[in-house]
Amino acid sequence: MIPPPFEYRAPESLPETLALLREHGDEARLMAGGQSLLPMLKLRLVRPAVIVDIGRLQELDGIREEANTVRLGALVTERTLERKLEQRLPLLSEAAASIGDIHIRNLGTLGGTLCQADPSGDLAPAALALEATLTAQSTDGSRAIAAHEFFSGPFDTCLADDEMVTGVEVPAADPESVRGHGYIKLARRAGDYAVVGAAALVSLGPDGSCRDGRVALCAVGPTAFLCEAAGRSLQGTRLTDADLAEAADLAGNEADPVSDVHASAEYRRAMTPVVVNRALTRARERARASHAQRP
Amino acid sequence: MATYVGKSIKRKESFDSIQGKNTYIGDVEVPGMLHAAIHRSPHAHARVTRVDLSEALAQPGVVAAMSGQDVRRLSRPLAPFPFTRTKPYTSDYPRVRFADHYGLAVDRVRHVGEAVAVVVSEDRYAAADAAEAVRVEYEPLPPVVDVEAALERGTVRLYEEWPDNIQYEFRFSEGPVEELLEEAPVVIRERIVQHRYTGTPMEPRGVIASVDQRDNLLTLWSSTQVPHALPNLVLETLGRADLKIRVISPTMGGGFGIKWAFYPEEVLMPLLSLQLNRPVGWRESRSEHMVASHHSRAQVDHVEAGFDRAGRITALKTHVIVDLGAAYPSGGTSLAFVTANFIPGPYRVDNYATTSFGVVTNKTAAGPHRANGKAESNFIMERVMDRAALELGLGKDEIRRRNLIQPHEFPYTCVTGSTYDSGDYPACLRKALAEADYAGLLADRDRCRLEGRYRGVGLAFLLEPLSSLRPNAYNAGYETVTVRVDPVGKAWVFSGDVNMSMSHMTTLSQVVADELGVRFEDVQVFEGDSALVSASSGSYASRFSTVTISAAIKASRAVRTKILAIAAHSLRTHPEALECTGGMILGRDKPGVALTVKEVANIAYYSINQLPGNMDPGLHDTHYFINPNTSFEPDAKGRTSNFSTFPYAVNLAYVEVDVATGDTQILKYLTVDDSGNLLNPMIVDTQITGAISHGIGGAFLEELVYDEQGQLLSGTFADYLIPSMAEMPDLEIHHMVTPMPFTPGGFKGVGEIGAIGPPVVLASAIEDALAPLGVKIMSLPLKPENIWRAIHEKRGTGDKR
Ligand SMILES: Cc1cc2nc3c(=O)[nH]c(=O)nc-3n(C[C@H](O)[C@H](O)[C@H](O)COP(=O)(O)OP(=O)(O)OC[C@H]3O[C@@H](n4cnc5c(N)ncnc54)[C@H](O)[C@@H]3O)c2cc1C
Repeated sequence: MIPPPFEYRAPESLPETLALLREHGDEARLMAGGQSLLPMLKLRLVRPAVIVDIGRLQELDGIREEANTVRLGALVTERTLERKLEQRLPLLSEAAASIGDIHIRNLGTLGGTLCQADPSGDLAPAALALEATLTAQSTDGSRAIAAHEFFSGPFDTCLADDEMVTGVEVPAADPESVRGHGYIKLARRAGDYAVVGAAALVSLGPDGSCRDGRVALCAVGPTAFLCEAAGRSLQGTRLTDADLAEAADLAGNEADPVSDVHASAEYRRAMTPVVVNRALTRARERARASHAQRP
Repeated sequence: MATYVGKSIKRKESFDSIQGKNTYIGDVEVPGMLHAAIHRSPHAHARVTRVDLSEALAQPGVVAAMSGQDVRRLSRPLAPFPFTRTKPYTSDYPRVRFADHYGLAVDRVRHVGEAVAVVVSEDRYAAADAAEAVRVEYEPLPPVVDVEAALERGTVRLYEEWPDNIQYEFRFSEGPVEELLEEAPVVIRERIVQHRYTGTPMEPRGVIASVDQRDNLLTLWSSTQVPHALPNLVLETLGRADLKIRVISPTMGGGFGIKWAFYPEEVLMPLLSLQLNRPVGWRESRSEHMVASHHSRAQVDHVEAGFDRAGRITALKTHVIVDLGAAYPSGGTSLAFVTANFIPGPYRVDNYATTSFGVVTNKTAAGPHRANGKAESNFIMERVMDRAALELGLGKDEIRRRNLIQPHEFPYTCVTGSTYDSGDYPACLRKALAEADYAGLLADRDRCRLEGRYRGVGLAFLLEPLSSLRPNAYNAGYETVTVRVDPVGKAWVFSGDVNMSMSHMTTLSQVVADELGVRFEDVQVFEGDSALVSASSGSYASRFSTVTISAAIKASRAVRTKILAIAAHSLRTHPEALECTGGMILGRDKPGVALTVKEVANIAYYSINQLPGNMDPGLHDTHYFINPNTSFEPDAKGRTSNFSTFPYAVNLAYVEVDVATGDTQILKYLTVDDSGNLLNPMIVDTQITGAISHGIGGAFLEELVYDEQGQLLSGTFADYLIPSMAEMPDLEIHHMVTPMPFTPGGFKGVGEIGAIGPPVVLASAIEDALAPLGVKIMSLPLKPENIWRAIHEKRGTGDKR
């Protein structure tokens, strides 16, 4: 419970931060909310020589809502996502609300949780279903990375050692259709990491049929992932119970979980279609309710 | 006259704990203190071939380091606990073996987390770094992880000097059990598996030792539940007859039995302090706690129970196999003794045979944990009762009703020899069924079944033997309290207990204020220091309100007698004509205050010429109250009676199981408790609430999981899940009161019984919910995956709602 020795730096600006990353490379670790980093340090699972606390970089905090996109700073907390995006990005809000407890959500950040790349993290499936794009920066400049290309393995991303995430962009929903969302997480206790987590989005066209369906999962593979076959199978259907069950089975086929103390791989695999079905059902009910309210 | 007892008076302790003003072991700062950190074994079973301390010693700030070889040179094996010597029994059974463990592992490690080396540094952080720099060479040995495999012939032995892996053996037999089982029209045969979990106090352990060389006084601070046993244990282990030892157990952030043991660090810190001539302290981290503080509950049980056609139990046979982990002096053997003795529970069982083994394995030592052995015994018997009800086509309530001990039978000597003090079991059952609207719940369950929803009612009758003692042990079975009224009329109470958040300050103040006739605010309570009273068995087994409170009542009465005698002498009347209340002495017949306690105290200490003839000065008394209703002397059948009182409860739960996931939702949880007279109803209810949440954790969440290599997989709070508010159902708590007949206050004790109920009653409820699928629940925990598996085995997957 006592971390190994490290040097602590708290830069005041983004350029200063990027320079530190360039200087120390894989010897350095950024600290955002510290809610994953500090436990790892105390268990001596990571031993960075330098900790770069980015908490003072105000330019990375804040939400900008534009017509076609919502721009989120890397330091936006999980609690802010939960409370400020209920209208605009309710899937992200619902997923954020399922994380840990309020104390953790007040500190944990969007950038931190995505970069932690925990295969059971709750925000990744929402980011995948929403087709989010991450912005990565280094002293060499910046690049955009699609969420589905960002995660490269358990606790691993495609970021280079001197790169960091500065923000996340989420495209707005298609104005022609109504969208319903659902994030369902099977967990041992309220606020625990998912045993299986499923994010679902369905869009209904004016005639009430499904224009677009998305299913993304966490905790059942080396990274969170988008189940393309499941999403595709919903397109053009009336979203009957049978349609949802078929999509859930397709998603279940893609589950490739491992066992841990919370659940065996077998249980996770069996639970995947159950959880997907429930997420899709919730999304469908919400979409139908909005559709019914349309003039 | 009760002004305070029986009232929900707010806890004196809360002011400090809410404001963060308590001094826990981690807050104790001894000037000049060095910090120790321990290097622990990563192997479950291995020979230690070399310990190299040189790199650790070279680290900045490091003052000293020791290996097991050093400790063996400087001390003896850890003294046995709770037995005062290694030959505790004269008869063959129980039979117990002891092992030589030192403060550090010498040449062999027997569980992951066993202490192998210690380093001492000026700074706690530097100590942690240096502990990592200790180099140890191990030669791995095959680990013995599964408790049943540990019993197999020819298996690896943990202790080569033993013939097998059985540390403790208890056998008992009464009546023609085999014949009756053969004749019985209905026999229930089950194998029951109870899982390993533990008490997880929010505050881990900590030990600080400081030696005053001139006085040969060793002061030892330890978050221990047995501050009076420790001086003996440490002296014997150090082999230093010249030392005096004082043990201070500061305010504790929870004990739950986990701190009822003799731990290696409690001899390591004194040893280091003596060597270095400086105070040395160690604070356990949570990660250490999970591997180095004892575990509990794990056992495999085989049970056979015969019933006649009327549903009466005719014979019971059990084989209890307790997984003790390594044989450290943790008191774990009591788990095997208590379980085996009390499986018959609240039922009339005349014919009973049991064999109980405490078996060593390569895991952390097991020891007592809130409802030690009793959570286990109740689980076994109540599972049997539910199965028998199904088999016989009786209701769960009916089968119990037909077997319960009747009120006129008390005091009732149970088949294994203990005397149940008092109670009305059928009335308790009746009350629970009525309060819960049992019939209504059954009707709702049946309605839901038609809709394809799986709801079920669980019922459990729980019996808790408590206030235990043992021959030739530190829990000798009495409690010591000194009550003193000081020269200004304030009352001081000194008890041998420890302050482990169980409201002792408040309840002792209530009792002493009433008995002396002073104000609650004028009573000050002290505990947790071996210097306060000469001896004590410690705080455990819900014995405080049985023995400590009784000792306090007796001591207070002696002091009050003296107060009234002095007052009567000075008022030229008889003591019987006076009474004392709120610090004032009043004439029974004449209105108005005659004298105050303060004035009497002034006479007792200063104006001693005004004392009645031959009376000594001072107002104080020390009372040793012996556990009532017990006997050390074996009776004609060789049985001893080791428990004073037997509170009981009926728990009833109504649940809904999500058959797609195996998840259980508790819709209703009700308990009717009889813990005798209530000292403070609010405190009683909070004890019950805390204990039930403890049990809910054990039922669903808490699980110490080991892999085949003996590695603990749930060693952090991310993996070992304790319940939060969100997992707690609303509780309905009801009481019945049958006063304890053998104590002056009629109190029984209530710290543990709540913890027994949840695994038992929730297993019953889940089994009932899943009855249409034919699911049987014979193992713990009741976590979703296990329930899902049980469902799955019966009907395959398919439900995806
Ligand atoms: C008790 C508890 C329960 C939790 N429960 C859940 C849960 O149910 N679901 C869930 O999803 N999460 C859960 N979490 C994790 C929580 O969401 C964390 O806050 C989150 O994973 C990490 O966010 P952070 O801002 O704290 O990052 P930090 O801990 O500061 O950093 C995490 C990692 O990301 C890196 N990093 C941080 N910011 C950046 C950046 N901008 N660019 C590049 N790298 C960066 C760090 O170097 C570090 O390696 C829980 C945490 C705790 C302590």
